[in-house]
Amino acid sequence: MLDAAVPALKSASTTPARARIGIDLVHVARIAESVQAFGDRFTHRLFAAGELRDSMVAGRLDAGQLARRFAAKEAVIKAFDLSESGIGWSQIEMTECAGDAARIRLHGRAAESAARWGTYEIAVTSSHDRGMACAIVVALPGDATNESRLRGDASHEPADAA
Amino acid sequence: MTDNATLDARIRSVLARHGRLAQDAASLAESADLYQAGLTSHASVNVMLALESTFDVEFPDQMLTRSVFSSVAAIRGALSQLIPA
Repeated sequence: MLDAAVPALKSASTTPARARIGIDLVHVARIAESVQAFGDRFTHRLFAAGELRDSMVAGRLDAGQLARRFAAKEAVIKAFDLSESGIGWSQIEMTECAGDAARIRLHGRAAESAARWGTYEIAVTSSHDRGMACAIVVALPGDATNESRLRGDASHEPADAA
Repeated sequence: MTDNATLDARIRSVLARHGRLAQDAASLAESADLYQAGLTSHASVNVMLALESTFDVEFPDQMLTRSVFSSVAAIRGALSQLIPA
């Protein structure tokens, strides 16, 4: 789905792209409450399979990890003004690999909607501590010839589990 | 009680339980802005999931917009499209 959106990224915008930024702050305990109240309906509706895998700590889903990812999704929505685009949260995916930077990958309608602003490289950073999780997304106009996907690379600052 | 009134009462019940509003959901005007009343993006997810359980419906992705959950009337309008006649 992401690859299918690439042509739109190159042609959707007719005005010069500008830098975009989004931020979100989430109560970790409230994410835990949602998991308890709604179970798989909450986790599977909001998070991609890879995000759920990456959110496992000691064999269990960690609310702090989920909260960081939820904050990142909301930060992307704010950065690209997607609140009226009608997208599923799992179409905004934050991926992390050990020793590598956190990345944002947009799928389907999320990628198409963001592409109306032009082609971007997306940077994301997130952290959680003292019961709160925060994510900041910065998107800079990118060169589609060098960056074939609308994605973000950024450092992830590890934090103590809440 | 009219159908709309019944629907609104159930919507307000969901909002009272999951919306974390700063105001009493029962006394909000049907057009009152729920975000102004304290609804957060995370709470709107909880409200959406609770509405799905309450009304045995599923909100499709294209209805997952800020405006759909912006007021009791807006939620009622969305549900009216999802609940079989």
